[in-house]
Amino acid sequence: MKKSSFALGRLTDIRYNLPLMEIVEKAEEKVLILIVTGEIDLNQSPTLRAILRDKAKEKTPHLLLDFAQVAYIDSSGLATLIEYYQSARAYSGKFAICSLTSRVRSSFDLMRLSEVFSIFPDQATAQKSLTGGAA
Amino acid sequence: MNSAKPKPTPPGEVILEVKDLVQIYGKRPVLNGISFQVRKGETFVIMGGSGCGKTTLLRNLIGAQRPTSGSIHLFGEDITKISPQDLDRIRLRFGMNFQFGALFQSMTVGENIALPLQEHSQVDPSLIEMVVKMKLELVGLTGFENFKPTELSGGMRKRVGLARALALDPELVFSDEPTSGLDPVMTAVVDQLTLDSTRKIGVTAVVVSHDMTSCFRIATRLLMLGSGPRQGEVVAEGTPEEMKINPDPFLQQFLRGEADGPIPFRLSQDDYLKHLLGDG
Repeated sequence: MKKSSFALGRLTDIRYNLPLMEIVEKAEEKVLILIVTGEIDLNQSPTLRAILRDKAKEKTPHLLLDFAQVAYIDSSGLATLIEYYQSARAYSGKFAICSLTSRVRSSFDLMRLSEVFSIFPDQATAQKSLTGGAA
Repeated sequence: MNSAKPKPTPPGEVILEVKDLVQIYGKRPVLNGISFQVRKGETFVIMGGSGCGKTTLLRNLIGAQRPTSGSIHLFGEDITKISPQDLDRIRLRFGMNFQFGALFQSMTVGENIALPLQEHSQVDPSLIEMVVKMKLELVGLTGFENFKPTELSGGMRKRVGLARALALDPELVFSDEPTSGLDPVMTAVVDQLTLDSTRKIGVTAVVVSHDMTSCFRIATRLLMLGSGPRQGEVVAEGTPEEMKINPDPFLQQFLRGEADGPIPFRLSQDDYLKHLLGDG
């Protein structure tokens, strides 16, 4: 996995380049945002898991996954998100997902996970909720 | 990580193409020049009376037996001609839901569902456990992870088989009589699962069934195989609406479930006597 950092205004973004998936990490105010692009399947979910486990180890207080560019997520990807959700809950971390495409939303619905996760239509709404309206 | 994963078939593209398929058992042609196509995202239902060759066709489609002649292109490759190793690679892209579950009796329900993930992925065991729970929830069997197949009813075993077929989230699922032996509520649950998987997630389903209610509830297109004088032929193919108005007498007798009609139930008097007296 290639990892590179670059400055974007006052923010420092980290880009994880994977064969079929890309994750850009952005720190905005109190919220750490992971913008995921590609398909989260059996081949990609172990990498997403490694990144999320790091965030859990660091006890990231507010994590937002932006799925606007995620075309597909399979069961292993959903299980990866559940694992992070459980870890974050253990240290009272807040976790949300935003901008799901209809196909990805259907995967959450089919597995009855839409009620488990905090899902928002866009980044701004999600950030506001994660920080209690302070974003 | 396996970066050589094949590119998924785009929506609407042909995922399965069968051409002039012939299967002869002894001197009897069970399949006699079958041709059809299935496109990504469709629910394609193959129906027909007992002994018409539905299961033989399905066994050909999954590469479990080779046809006498003809071709079967699955994900663009002719599986009647490829090596066993290449066939195994293609098998990772589809799930098979067997008629009676085909579960490993010595394993628990959870172990049966986990098996494809353990064999074909690098997914961590703790995540596999979660996937097993999700798949069991999908088929209405939450909490049955530690049961043995022998402790379940036939209908429950069938649903475990479906959960296992879905374990790897395949692009294509073949199902052999997925609702036979299920009660009406569970039949509706399995049908809804097929509808949600195909219409919302883009999975393709090829279903062999003679449960007419279920067939017409889930199908985007149907194909009827003939029997008797039309053994091994395609009697009709079309959307549910096209099938309902198709005047073919074989099809209409089958759809209406009538005893009288061209679908033979018994031999003719002459043929019966010839058979009985050994004059044939």
